[in-house]
Amino acid sequence: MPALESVAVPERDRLSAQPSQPELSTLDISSVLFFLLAIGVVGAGIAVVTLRNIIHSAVAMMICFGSLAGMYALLGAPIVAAAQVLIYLGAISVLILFAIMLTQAGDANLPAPFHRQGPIAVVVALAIIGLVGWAVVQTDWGLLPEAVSAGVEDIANAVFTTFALPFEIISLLILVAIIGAIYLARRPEEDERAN
Amino acid sequence: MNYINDLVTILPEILLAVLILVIITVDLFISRANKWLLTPLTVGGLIVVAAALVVVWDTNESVYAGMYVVDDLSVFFKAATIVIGIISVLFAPAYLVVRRIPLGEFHMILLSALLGMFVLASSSDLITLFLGLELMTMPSYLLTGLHKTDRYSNEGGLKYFLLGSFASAIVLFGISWLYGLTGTTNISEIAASGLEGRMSGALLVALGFLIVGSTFKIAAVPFHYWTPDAYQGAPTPITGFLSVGPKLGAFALLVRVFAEALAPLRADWLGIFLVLTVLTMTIGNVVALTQVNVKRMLAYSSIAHTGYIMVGLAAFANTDDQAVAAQGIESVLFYVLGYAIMNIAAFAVVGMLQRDTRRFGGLNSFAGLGSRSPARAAAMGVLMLSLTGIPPTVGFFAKLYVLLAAVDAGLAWLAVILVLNAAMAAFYYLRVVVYMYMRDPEDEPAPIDTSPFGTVALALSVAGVVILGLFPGAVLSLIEVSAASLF
Repeated sequence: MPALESVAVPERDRLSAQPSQPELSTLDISSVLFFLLAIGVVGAGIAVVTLRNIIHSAVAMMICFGSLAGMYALLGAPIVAAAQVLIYLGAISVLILFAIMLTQAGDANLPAPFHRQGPIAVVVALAIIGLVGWAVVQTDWGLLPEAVSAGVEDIANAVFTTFALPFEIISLLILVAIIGAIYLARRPEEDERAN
Repeated sequence: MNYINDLVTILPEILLAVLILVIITVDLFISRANKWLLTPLTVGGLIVVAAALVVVWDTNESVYAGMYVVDDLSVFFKAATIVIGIISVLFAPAYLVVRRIPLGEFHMILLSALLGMFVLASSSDLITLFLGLELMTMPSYLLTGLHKTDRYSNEGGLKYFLLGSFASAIVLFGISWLYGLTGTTNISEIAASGLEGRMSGALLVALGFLIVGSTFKIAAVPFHYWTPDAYQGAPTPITGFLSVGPKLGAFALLVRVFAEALAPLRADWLGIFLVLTVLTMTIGNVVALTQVNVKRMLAYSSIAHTGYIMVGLAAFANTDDQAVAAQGIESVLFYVLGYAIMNIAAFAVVGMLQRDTRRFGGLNSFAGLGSRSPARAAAMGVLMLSLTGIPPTVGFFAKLYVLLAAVDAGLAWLAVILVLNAAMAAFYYLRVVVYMYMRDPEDEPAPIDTSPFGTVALALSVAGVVILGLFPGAVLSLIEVSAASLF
């Protein structure tokens, strides 16, 4: 198909400065990176739910978050990747580790509460993975030839124009989450005093 | 894009957000003896919001770059939300004070849930829709677990939180598939994207995830397992709110997603929807029959009512005639409103009999209530008749409109199943009436709560149930206009 190739070549050139979406057919550096990161996300994700020691789970979650940040960078969204590193990898993971350290007394190993449902859960999960995988492969997604630019300026524009209202709604959502978390975490005696 | 002018159309939302902040601030500065003032303050604020709703009625505009729509349908949902909010706020304090649950947090969290329902009703984009859903359900988890020192409340709150988060994630996953297929999250653009000819594996996955996630939120069988525990664990008047508030929001979501964005695909989702509807009605009722705890019985019966409301949506989906489809949506709106009033009030009466904190809403608490407190027994009697669907109450007309819509849409068999279910439900609702009037009181009868706010709210609810039953015309004409904004 000569027509297709003549279109594809200049796009390659333009994209070479910026990492592009991985293509399964060619084993270039970005697809190798993609598969490494994918193994990181999925493997660490499985580890989070299967490891018995809660601190190990938290560390696995950090690996999962980190791989996801790499994935965003690979897709040409550096600002999303940076936010992922700052917020999830930096703030949330550290908070979780602190929360575990401050609340866990003694041995951190917990019994698995849903142990007996394990085999059924595996079967159901595999069935859903199969279904979703089949749907991904057999659908024509109409992918764009190049990744849409997602630089700082684009995101800032989108957040403060198109997504201005959802942005404000999130602030209220966070407010109620904070107040609720404080209320639930406060000891009942402190409720009495606060009233 | 003129965002300053758009501010006027979201005036009710802005006022509600301001009310939330006012409540938080006032709560800081008043002493414990004066906390009861928060209730009239909240009710007054909600009445102001309702006045703002009158201002935006008949706006019918898409605002904020297509993220939000202020149509008459959304205004109707918001008005119903205000009704739910006012009744819930009046009923709850007496129950909460006895159990030392702080009132400031309660009012603030409840108002946030109402704001979430506002956003959900007005969403014209799946992003806003999801945020509205979260803003509604996050406070609902908190309300369930509000009674921190009670382990049933802890259990209910935790279960609701875990399962609800999964359901939210499932909805979000479905949304992402829909975005992948259509390249947009805007609801009207999705509806116009010509999906109907392209039934594919990916569309099937998107539909599947959206149906599972959203029917979880309305507590349809088989995604209802969280309901009885969450409803039983929550403080009783709050259970009343939970059984109608988040449900109203979830039906707004169903209308926006399935009756608007995915309306071209209705032949594809109707089949699975019919199965869920029949299961929900029947299993909800069968399990409710076996309950001896009134609170738990009402929890299961709320599942059955979900099924009745789903019949209206099924009627919408089963017809190509626009008038009949509109009739289906209208029956959903009327049922949701009527059901909201009667169910909150019914739970509140159960709560009034739990002034003694060791009472859990057993059937025996109701024994001899007819002689002990004739007014409350009569109110509960009217509510039970209305939930059963006996004229001249709102429950009767709500069921009648759903039935008519189903028959007109060619779903007569579904109407028959609904009638059989309603007959079955009569047994457990009327059993409460039998206990109230034909049993002797217990040796140590449950003390009754007689707080003025609760009494006023009960009188208002019963009046609403009877007046909407006798003169449904005015509300129906509003509903007709509201439903028309979908077509």
